[in-house]
Order: sequence, then C-alpha cells, then structure tokens
Amino acid sequence: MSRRYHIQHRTTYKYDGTVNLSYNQIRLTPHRIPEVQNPIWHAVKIEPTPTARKARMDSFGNQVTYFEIDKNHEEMEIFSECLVETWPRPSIEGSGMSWEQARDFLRHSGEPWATEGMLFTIPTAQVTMSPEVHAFAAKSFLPGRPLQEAVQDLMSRIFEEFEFDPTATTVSTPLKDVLLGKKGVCQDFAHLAIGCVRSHGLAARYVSGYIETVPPPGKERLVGADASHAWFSVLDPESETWIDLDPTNNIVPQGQHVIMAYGRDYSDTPPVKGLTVGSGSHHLDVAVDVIPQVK
Amino acid sequence: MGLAWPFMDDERLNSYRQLVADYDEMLGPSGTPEAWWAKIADHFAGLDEAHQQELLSATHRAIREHGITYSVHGDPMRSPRSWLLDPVPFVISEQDWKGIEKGLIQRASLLAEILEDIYGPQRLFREKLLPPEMIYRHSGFIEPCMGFKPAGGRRLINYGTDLARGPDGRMWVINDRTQAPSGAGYTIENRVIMARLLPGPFKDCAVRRLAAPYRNYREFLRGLMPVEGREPRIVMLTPGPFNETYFEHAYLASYLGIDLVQGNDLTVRDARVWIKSLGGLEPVDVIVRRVDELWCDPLELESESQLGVPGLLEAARRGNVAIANPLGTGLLENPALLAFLPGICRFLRGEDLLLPSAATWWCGQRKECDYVLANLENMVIKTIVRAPNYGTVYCNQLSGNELESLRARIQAEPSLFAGQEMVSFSSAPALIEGTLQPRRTIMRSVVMANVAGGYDVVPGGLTLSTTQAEGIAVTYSRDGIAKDSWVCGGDVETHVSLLRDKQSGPANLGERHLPSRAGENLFWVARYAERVEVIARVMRRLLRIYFQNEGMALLGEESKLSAEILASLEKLTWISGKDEDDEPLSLDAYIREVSMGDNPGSLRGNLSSLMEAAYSVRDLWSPDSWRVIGTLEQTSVELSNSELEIPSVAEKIDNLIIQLIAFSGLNLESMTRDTGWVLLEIGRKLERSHGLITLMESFMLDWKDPDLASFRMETFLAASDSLVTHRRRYRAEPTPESVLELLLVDKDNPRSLLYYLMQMEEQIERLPHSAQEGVRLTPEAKLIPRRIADLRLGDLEALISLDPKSRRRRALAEWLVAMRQSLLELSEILTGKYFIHAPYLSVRK
Repeated sequence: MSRRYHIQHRTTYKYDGTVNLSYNQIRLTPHRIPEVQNPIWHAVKIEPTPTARKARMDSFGNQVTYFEIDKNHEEMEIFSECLVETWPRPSIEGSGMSWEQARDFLRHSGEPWATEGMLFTIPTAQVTMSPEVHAFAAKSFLPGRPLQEAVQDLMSRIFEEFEFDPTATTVSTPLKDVLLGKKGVCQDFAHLAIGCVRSHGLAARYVSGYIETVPPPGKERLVGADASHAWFSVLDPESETWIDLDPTNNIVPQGQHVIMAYGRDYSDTPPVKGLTVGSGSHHLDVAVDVIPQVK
Repeated sequence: MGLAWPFMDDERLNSYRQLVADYDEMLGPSGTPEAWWAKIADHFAGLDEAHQQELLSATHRAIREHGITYSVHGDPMRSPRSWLLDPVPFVISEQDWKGIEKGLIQRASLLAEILEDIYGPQRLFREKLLPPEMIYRHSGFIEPCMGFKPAGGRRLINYGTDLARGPDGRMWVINDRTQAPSGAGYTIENRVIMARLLPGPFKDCAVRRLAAPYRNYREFLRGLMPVEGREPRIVMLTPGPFNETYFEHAYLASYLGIDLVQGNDLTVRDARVWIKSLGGLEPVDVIVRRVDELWCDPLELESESQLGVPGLLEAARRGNVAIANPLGTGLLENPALLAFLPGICRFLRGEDLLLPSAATWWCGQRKECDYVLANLENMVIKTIVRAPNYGTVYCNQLSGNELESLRARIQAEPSLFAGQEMVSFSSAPALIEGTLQPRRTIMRSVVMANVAGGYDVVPGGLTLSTTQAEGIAVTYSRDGIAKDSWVCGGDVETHVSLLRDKQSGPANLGERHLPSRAGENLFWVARYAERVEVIARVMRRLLRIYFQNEGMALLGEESKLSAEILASLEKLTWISGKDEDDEPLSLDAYIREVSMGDNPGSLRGNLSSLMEAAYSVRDLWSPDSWRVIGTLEQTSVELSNSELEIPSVAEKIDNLIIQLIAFSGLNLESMTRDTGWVLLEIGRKLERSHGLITLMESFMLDWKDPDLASFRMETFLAASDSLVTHRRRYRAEPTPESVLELLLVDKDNPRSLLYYLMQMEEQIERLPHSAQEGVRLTPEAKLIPRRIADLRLGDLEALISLDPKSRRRRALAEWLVAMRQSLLELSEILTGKYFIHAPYLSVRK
C-alpha cells in the first residue's frame, strides 16, 4: 500500500544588515528509489532571483544545487515543495550472517557495493570514535550475533536509554557528551548509532529527510510544525542493501519517511548551507509541513 | 681521476672517512673521491682559512640580501628565519641523474593516473590494489571533487619528491609532495647565489642549467586554459606573508611573471573567478595554488577558512578555472600509499616502478600490522591523518614505555598507521668549522607538467643536510641546511633564464591592473616611508640641540625651541612627551621613545608597518629595491637595541634618511609608470603634504616670541629639506614671507605644498576610471585642484598675514585645517574606490 505526502519546506533568512552577495548550496530534491519512493513532482523557488544556479549529483546520489545571490538584499527565502509517493520496504531475507562475517565480507568482497560502502566505515568530524562509543555499541554487537539483530537492538537501546531533548545539544556537541548526557535530538541519535556501527568495522550512513507526524488524538495537525528528520542506514553485506533504522522513533521505516539526502554525517546533507558577504548576523526561520494525501 | 688532489693528504681524507657511517656521496663505492666530487673537494681543500671565511660570509650576505627566508610555523612574520646555505654543492653525475629523471617522470605520471582512478572509476579498489579505507581515512580525499575532470585535463601539475640515497647506492623516494609542493623557488635562488660564489667549479663541472623546465612550465600554464581574444590571466594564490614559504611564493610569482594574490583578492561571480584589481573585476583563468586544498573554499571545504575563495570549487567543477594543482591531489601524500605503488604501477602502466621507496606496510592490513608490531623498534611510524601530535616517529629513539604506548595506539586503531623500514641515508660533505664533514642529506626534487602532456624535472633541486653529525631526520622546518644540487657533466647548453628571456614572454598584456590589495600596500609603503623620513628629519634637529649642550639641561631660547620641536614630534608620532604621572620626560628619554620605542607612531613602529606592507607585495620590488628595504629593516633591528647610546641613535637616524632617499630614488628610476607606481606617488605626496602641514603649524603659526623666529624658521626649513634651496634662492636671512612663499607656493621647489598638490593632481588623473564616470571629473579629482586654486589664485599676503592682536597667522591656520581635511577625504575616497577588497565573510549557521 503506497502513501503520498505533500511536503512544503520554507527557509527564511532575515539579515540584520544588507548582504551584498551570497553563495549557497541546497539539497532539497527527494531521492528517487525504485520500490521505496518516487517524487511525482518537486519545485524550489528562491527569492531574490539567484544567479549561476545549477544542479548536479554528488557521489552519494544527492542532488545538490549551487546558486549565488549577487545583489544587495536583507532577506532570502527558499521555498521547496514536492509530492512524493512512498512504499513500505520489502523485508530483507537473509540467513542471518553474523556481524563479524559481515565486517570481513565487506572488506574482502571487492564488489562496487562494498568498495563504495567503505566510505561509510571511517570516523568523521561529527562521528568521532572513542572507547566509550565502542563500549556502548559492544552491548548490542555480541559475538556471533546476526548483523540485523545487532543493529535493531542498538536502535532500540538508543530509543529507550536516551531522552529526546532539543535543548540538550547543539550541532557541534561531540558524541561522547551525547553518550554521557543521554539526551539529544534525531541528529545526535543518528550520529551515535553510526559511530556505534562503524566502531565495529561496519558501514553506516546518515540519512536526512522528513517523517509524517501524527497529531495527538482529536487535535488538528499544526501547520509548519514539522521539521527535518534524520536517521541512519546500515550496509548489509549479505543482501548488498542498506537497511534504514530510525532510533528517534524506534522503527524501521515503512513508508512514513521521505529520503532527501545521504552522507557520511550531517555535514554532507544539510538542506541549505551558505556564506554571505556583508551583514554578519541573521535570523533563521524554518517551516516544514508533511501533509499526508488522501487518495 | 682524483690523482692530483691536494686534499688527498691521507690525514685529512682519513679523518673524513672516519666520520662516515654509511654510504658517502663524495667517497662513493670506491672510498676515494672521483670525477666531479674530486673537483669540488679539490676546490675546497685549496681554500685557506681566510678564503673559506670569505666564502661563508659571502654566502650569508647573499642570503640576507636576497631576503631568502623560511618562517618557522607560528612565528610572527617579522622574525622569519634566514635560509642556511652550505657552500659545498651536492653533486650528481649526468648519468646517475638520467635514471632519476626517468623514474620521477614515471612516478608523476603514475600518481596522476591514481588520482584519475580514485576520483573516477575506482578500479583500483575493485582490483584490490588499493584499500578504500586507507584512502578514505586520509584528509586528502575530498568527496566534492568526485566525478569531474579539472579544466585542462591534468590531474597533477606540480610535484615534489624527497629523495635520498640508500645503502645500496640507489636513490630512494622518501616522500611524495603533491598538494602545493615547495622547492621550485628556493632551488633557483640557491643556484643564483652559488653560481656567483663558485664560478670556477660551476664551469668546470659543466652544471646543467635550471631554467628550461620553468620556461616550459610558464608555457604550460598559459596553455592550460585557452581563452579567446586575450592572454589568459594567471595568478598565484598564497596564504600570505605569515606562511612559512611566503618568500618562495613571492619569488616564483615574480619569476613567472604572474600576480601574487591572497584569497580575498579573488571573488567568484557567476561561478567564475575574478580578481579585484584597481580597474575593477577582471577574469582569472588559471590559479597556481599554494594554499592547502582544504582551505581553498569555505563554502564546500573548511568553512572557517579565511584563506580561500567561496565558490572556487564550483567554478573549477564547471571548468571555468584551472587550478594547479587541482583540488584533491593531497590524497597522494598518504604515507601508506608507498606500500601499494609497485602493484598499481604494474596494473595501470604495465611496467615496474623505477624508483624504489623505503619498504612500507599499512597497518590496516592484519598481516602487515603484525609485521610492523613485531619489528616495531626498527620502524619509522607515520600516521595517515595529518594532525597535531601525529607525524613521523623514529622508534629507535623511543624509550621502552613510549614504544609500548605507541604499540597500544597502533593496536587500538591500526588503519591509522603505516610502518616504514628505517633506512640510513647517504652523507655528503658540508663545510663545518673549516673542514669538510659528512652530513646526511635528502634532496627535494621538483617536477612540473609540460605542454607535451608529460613532465619536466628540474635538473638538481634543493638538497638539505642535517646540522648535526648524528641527525637522522632532515626537515625544512626545523634544522636543515640547504645546498645547491649540481647535475654535472651534461652537454653545455645555451643559457636561458626567465629573468632575462624576452622572446618567450607575451609582448603586451594590454589593460591589466594590479590587484587592489597590492595597490593599497604600495600606497601605504610610500606613506610610511614619508612618515619615517619627516620624523627622522625633525629628530635630527632635536639631536643637534641635544649634542650642542652635551646632554646638559637646556636654558633660554634653546629650551623653548626644543619644547616646540617636542611639540611637533608629539603631533607627528602621537607619542606624548610626558610620563604616566604627567611629568615631562627627559630629552634623553623622549629621544629614545620616539626612535626606539615599540609605539606604532615611533620611528621603529612606522618602519615595522612599512616592512609589513612591503613584504605583502614582495613580488613587486626589483632586487635592488628589496635590498634597500633590507637595509631599512636592518636599521630597524639595530634601533631595537635598548643599550644604544644617543650618538649611535643619531647615526642610525642619519643612515635611515639616506636609505629612504635611496628607496624613493630607486622607485622613481626603476618602476614602470603603471597604476602601482601612481599609487606609490600619490601616497608619497599625500604623506609629505601632511608632514609639511604639521611642521608649518608647529613652527610658523604662532609668532609671539620674536627672539625665536630665526631658530624656528631654520628648523622648519631644515626639517622640510629646504635650507639650501632657501639660501640659494633668496641669498638672505629667512623671513616668514620668504619661507612661506618657498614652501607653500613655489611650484619649482620639489618640497613645496603646491608642488606636492600638482603632482597628486597629475597622478590622480592617471588612475583607472570606470566607463560610467566618462570624461567628468570624479570627486577625488576635484579635491586637489580646489586647493591648488587657493594657493595660485588667492592672495598670498593675506593668507600668511599675522593677526596683530593674537600674534598668530590665523588665516593660514584655518586654511591648513581645511587643507588637511581635503587630504583625509582624498585618502578615504581612494580607499573606498580602489582598495576595499576584504569584505566580511560569514558562514551562515
């Protein structure tokens, strides 16, 4: 049974002074993945009118658009809109290869899926390794345990042991501190899970996108109250596929997630990123709506 | 060979032999100097102590005069270390060199093919010839560089290698430098000096010339990005004067005839790169990159970087600019790569790797890691991530505990480490304390792409030797001594040098303006030079009074006059003549403060600012101008000695004035009259006008004390360098009228205000104007003619008349205030129009 979402994502920068010039990169185009999600249409409107706008595909398969705004302005708005159809993931059949076997197979296969996957086994600026991260992960990666079981257990433990708290962390809070404070947001949980998987020699990537939010019973869905979401994805060498897991909600996505970008960590995936020449400070406003479509 | 060798007295040769630990370059396999080495050894053995001393000091003098420096990282710009140069060259026979050259060209081509594969199809990963993990862990792998080919098609353009001779007598590769390798500039500079100091041996040894690869390289750069209808614009991007190899950037840019720029001199618009020049934005086609790649674009790479250009990577991706080296080449500096090169070479090129490298094992592989750990005490351990506390560790220098903690670190994260066998490198003779002594050496070889699609190797290179006999690691940043390297016995070539070669250079580049930052620095060099000069001249008057009284307390008129001079110095330097308790400083203390103090307004402070501005445009000075700048710096250093007695201070100040005159004279004589020169001239006249106004205000306005009049006028004339002119023109004692006429309105006196203003007017009209401005006078062009009209059309008598009641020249006082205001406005307009170049960049969070 497929679902459809109408997604609106409005990003507004209000600068404190006049900006003469800005350089930007956006990742606001939903991925097209056979049998998982299909963008029916999508559009991005930018005000003021940009120059040098051009889209390309990066090596993670994300569509990245570069543009400049080469005129004086005090405000910039990026309004992205799309209609996406999603399907529940087919369940992955497997004999239950142990995570150790999976780790070695990944290194020795030499197949493109494996060599490409190796990019997601290394530490990054936001996914830093430490003995603490390894020790936390080791409770899920028990000797001989099938990979799928281990990562599902990891997801559940993060969900159960950690508290969702937007005030506890910032974009640059190191993993060690997240682990210590046991609090954070979806981005922290995704990074932590990725660090745990990588600490055991396996490949995990960061996924950014949206998730359908269900309003409390009897309440209307609030407009603009949704947000970008993040989860993680583990390479399963046995099936040669990536398995998505959402530790914030303790679910394996079954059609309620919309994938926008993949990366080694958040820094490969931000929806909007940029630099300005001129005014230094600004006020940022982001409004996201994920509206389920009734067919 | 080597039979008639005077040094061959057994005693000296034996004592050299005894110091040799492994293979020695001079002794060779036979144990006796042969061929070219015999000639070199001959030459040095023939020098008596006095000649040796002379050679050594000539070397040091040459280094200092050429201003060759290598700053130790983190040191302030003004204390860069002078290059140490050993006069004994490193000698390689032509035959030996041919093999090395072939090997280096093969290696450069191979490394370029590896880049092509990693940023493209990645066959090497799938063929298991290269572990992806090892590549991905290294910071040189840049994901945004995946999937596009750099403009011009060449992946590796500048390549440097450290070579050393192993115990078997073969040359080994120690390091590959592929980001922004240095050495190309130091190599020529060393050669220029050594060829001059050792003309005899240089000729006898038939040393191969260096210039041809550089000429080919310049041709290569011009062809890298063909543009229709004009010469491609090529710039060299440097991190700036704080970088340890800035000397080389400036030297090479000047040698290749290209603009030296910093990140904020460039801007990206419409995904193209532009240079902010005095004539507005002009397109840039080729960037020779000396900034490490991660710092090149704050949009896609290190967001905190202030050294790069936002949007640069996008411009490169779209093929709108060629970068040499392209971004992404740093991954070849991964020390573990050496382990995989032989296999990759056979796979990609179907041939064996010609140059051996020290046996290397990447610890990310289990068997290899076990081997490294089992033989740890004999290993050199390198980390594949460049970071503080990492680097190269010689395990034989570690204590037992240190070794065990290193072992634990490797075990915890093996893929981070590579082990390399410890190789003892050959030694070569160096002149140490009057004798030739063996020192271990490595040679930085420089390889550059050429138009034929291949590479040229600079014949020779920069050899470094250890300062200490027992040294094992030779590095540029710590304690190496440089040597020139001679490839001897080749065919004698015709001499080509880019320094003189006119034919291969473009005839005329047409409308092409100086980068704004360079223009601004020239403007300020001139202003600081003039500031120093006027302070020095006033100081000279003060010192005269000081000496006449032999430092005793001053009485009567002299005391009053010295108070006035002090007051004018306070205005010129902003240094107060009073101490913290508001008590007047002694004359002695004030002289010291103004000449030697750290205050930015002091002579030394202004000299420092001058140096900083001059150093930022190091590439624009002629060798002679640079030499004079060097003498100014020397004087500044001498003035920093607080032990200096006042008579010595006076002597330094006299020197300073002569040096400044030499500097401005040289610029007048040797600089082309381009926009840079125009700005230098405007800066000079602007600052002179300021100085003259201050002096006039100090000595000519208030006229209460008639006894002081002649002293004052004399001081004013002397400080304005017009004493002799006045004497010749008026042949009479100065009167206020004659003095003011000479210094205000005499257009033939090159020290008069009118002269300065007329010169400025002329130069301002030569500044580039935008099309919109058309033929109308711009605001900056209107300021000065108004003041000229005041002086030429106005009533001079009225202007300089004395108000009988206040005994003050009130009209002149008011006019001078207005005049000064016009100068300030001019400076502001010029800054806004031509110099604003460093917009505030901020990363949006």
